[in-house]
Amino acid sequence: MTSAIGHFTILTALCVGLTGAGASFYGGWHNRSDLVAAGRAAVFLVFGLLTFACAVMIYALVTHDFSVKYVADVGSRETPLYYTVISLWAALEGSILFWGFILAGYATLVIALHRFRYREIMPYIAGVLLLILAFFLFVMSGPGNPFVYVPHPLPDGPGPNPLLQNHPMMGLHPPLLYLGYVGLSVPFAIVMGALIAGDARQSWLQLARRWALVSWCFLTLGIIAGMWWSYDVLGWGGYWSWDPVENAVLMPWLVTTAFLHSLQVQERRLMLKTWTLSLVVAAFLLSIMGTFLARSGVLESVHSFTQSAIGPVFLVFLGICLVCSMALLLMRSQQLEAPGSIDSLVSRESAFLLNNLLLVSLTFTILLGTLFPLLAEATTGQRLSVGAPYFNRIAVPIALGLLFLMGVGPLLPWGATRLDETVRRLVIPALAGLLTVIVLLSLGIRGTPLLLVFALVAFVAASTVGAVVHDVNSRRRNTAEDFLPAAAHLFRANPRRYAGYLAHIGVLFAVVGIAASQSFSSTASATLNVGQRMHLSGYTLDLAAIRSDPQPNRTVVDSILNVSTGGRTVGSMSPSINYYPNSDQPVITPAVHIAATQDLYVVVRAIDRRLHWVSVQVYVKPLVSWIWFGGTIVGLGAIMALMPRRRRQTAEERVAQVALPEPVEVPG
Amino acid sequence: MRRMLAIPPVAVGILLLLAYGFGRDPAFIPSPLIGHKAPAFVLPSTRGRRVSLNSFRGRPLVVNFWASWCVPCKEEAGAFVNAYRRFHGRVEFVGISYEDSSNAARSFMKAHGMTWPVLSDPGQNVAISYGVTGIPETFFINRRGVIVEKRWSVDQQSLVNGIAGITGGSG
Repeated sequence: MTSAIGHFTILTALCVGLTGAGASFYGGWHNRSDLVAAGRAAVFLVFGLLTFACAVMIYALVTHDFSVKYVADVGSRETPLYYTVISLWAALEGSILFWGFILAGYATLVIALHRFRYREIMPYIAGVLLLILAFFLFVMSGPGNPFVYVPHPLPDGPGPNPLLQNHPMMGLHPPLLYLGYVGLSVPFAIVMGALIAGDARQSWLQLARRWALVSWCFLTLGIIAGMWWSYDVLGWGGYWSWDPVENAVLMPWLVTTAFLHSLQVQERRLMLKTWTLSLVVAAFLLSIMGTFLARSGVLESVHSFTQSAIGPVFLVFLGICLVCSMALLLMRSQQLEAPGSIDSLVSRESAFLLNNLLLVSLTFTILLGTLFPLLAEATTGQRLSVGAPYFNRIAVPIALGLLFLMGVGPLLPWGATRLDETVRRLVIPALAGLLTVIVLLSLGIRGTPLLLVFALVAFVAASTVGAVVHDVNSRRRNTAEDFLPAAAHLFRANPRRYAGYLAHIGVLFAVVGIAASQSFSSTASATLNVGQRMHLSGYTLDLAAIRSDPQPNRTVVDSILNVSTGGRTVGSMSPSINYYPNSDQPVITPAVHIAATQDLYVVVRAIDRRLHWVSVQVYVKPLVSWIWFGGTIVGLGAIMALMPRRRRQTAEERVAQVALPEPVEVPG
Repeated sequence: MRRMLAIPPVAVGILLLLAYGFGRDPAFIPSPLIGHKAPAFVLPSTRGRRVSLNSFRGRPLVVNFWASWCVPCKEEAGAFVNAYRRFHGRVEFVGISYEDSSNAARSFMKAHGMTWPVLSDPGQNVAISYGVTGIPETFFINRRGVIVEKRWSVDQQSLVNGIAGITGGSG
């Protein structure tokens, strides 16, 4: 019964979605407000139906209705309620259902918030969103049906994959990533809608920017949460492994980052419009490709869902999206011709341009590395894998280049260069970088790339702070305000710029955390009997006890270690090995003592059946928490950039009023 | 705008590449032993006899590395029992237990009705010489002692196909 209700709901939503898309496009084309309204209603109705379908699935999961195949695959009577509910996205079919629900939620928000402001393009935006929704509903109605009926259900199921019920972060990491990933459909739909409508104005780009920023914020937080999960759960002491599916998330993030930057050039100098729109399209296509990679079983990955028939369906959808969006961009290219041009190589727009080239090259090399195993096999028949050495070799120099631009960019003026002024403002940041190198050398730290990273971090930090101080002082000269009120006014007048700076500072924290934890980690391993101790980097770890704790869904074997440093007690840590009845592979859970300066990370590698001894590996990893802190700051920056600002003219509006020879920097 | 025309070929290339990925198993690693003589072994069976590869000379042989603690081994045990019933006499079967105790292996064999010889491999030396990376792994060896095919977990059909490859017929 439950599966019939669920399946019927999906089929109804598919019909509503397709009809609504047709109504929206036809109504938009022929100016039929009744049809446009019907399209809007279809969006709301699909959202309602998908919410209901998700509720039906959660009900089936919670009531252990094993006549629904998805519940029979991932459910179990022993799994705690929390993990039962979140197993909605623990496997393929449920994750597609959840995906559709989020997309419908986004579509509803977009339509509800903007239907009066963007009347000309809204029908097409609704139409594109409904078509994307219809695709996901089509997948759910056939090849990836979450509501398949099991005629003779078993009394119990296996429960979710042990790795997915081992950490509460599973409740956060996938939804954040889905919110980010799915959110990329919205700017894509806005761009497509505007291109279909032939609307050459500027304002809808702002709309695309806001929604791109929303999904960029979620993607950032989702990536950070995923890194944390990997660090805190998988027990390998790392947080990023260049896994194909990690890359699949990183690529849209990089492209969206490029978009958020190139948009500023587009606004200020009316340049790069086709390029900017292409980035929105590319981010969306990469998100669909990422979904495909995670779900088709084409590449080997820790994130792979079980192989399924939906791979080809996704590939066809990807092809259709690619052809349609490219065709639209090419058809409208005449309208998008850029009137602006770069006046000086040393200017803010050229820094943005270079930033875009670096971000897109990075994306492309990651794409190449991710797909290279397929390419090599297709051409030479050789099996090979592309691992961290390739990606690090490519990513580190590009990341250094981006860091440098992050420092120089805010100090460069738009348009023509005032070179002497720029050089003068670069002196202090350059000195900060130099001083950092001297201090690090005197501390005995060697290695050119590492010194370069820290020098650039100091350079960017000084230049960013310098840029803010410069802006505040300029204002104070005119208004005679105190520093803080002047800063507050500046922020309110232009939250985007200062939110951007804040995100940059967050990136710096993350960069320092990554560089330090990759370069200065130390590790030791030992086999300890109860009562024995080991030492690493000033820490002493005493094995106090080994305890076996049977729980409803698993047996947890804890090794309790009392940790002290310099005679001071740090606390008790209990890394564990968890045994799940549905899996013969025990799941190791590390214990991590997180601190501002360094993490102590303990993982059990082997354990005696009679609980007499354990083999543990201990890592001391400096500044890892800076990555989580930095990532959160970047997310905060994105939220602040979404705050409304005082109305300011865009370059296009200014050009429309007076033909200014040179757009002038408007202070504040 | 002309530069944008370079995008469609690249995009089509990527799509074709992704399409190529279907139907292939990304975890599959070809064995360098295919087409070569199977590494020799002399091992004690769970019944206490010593069994060597040479003792199967002149007959097609299926060698299965397995353990009682391995879930896919449980799943494929039924397929092996069926294949043994069907092909016994024309094809030899031998199991080599991997990181397992003799008692556990014996009770697994009893539970699943496995009646062909199973050998224990102390130190996993034979598994190493066959390049076993994870179990189950099954090697199909022809009359001349040459490895024709290697598979991970097998089902009824892939077992029949593998056997056809070493007997030279559909069996």
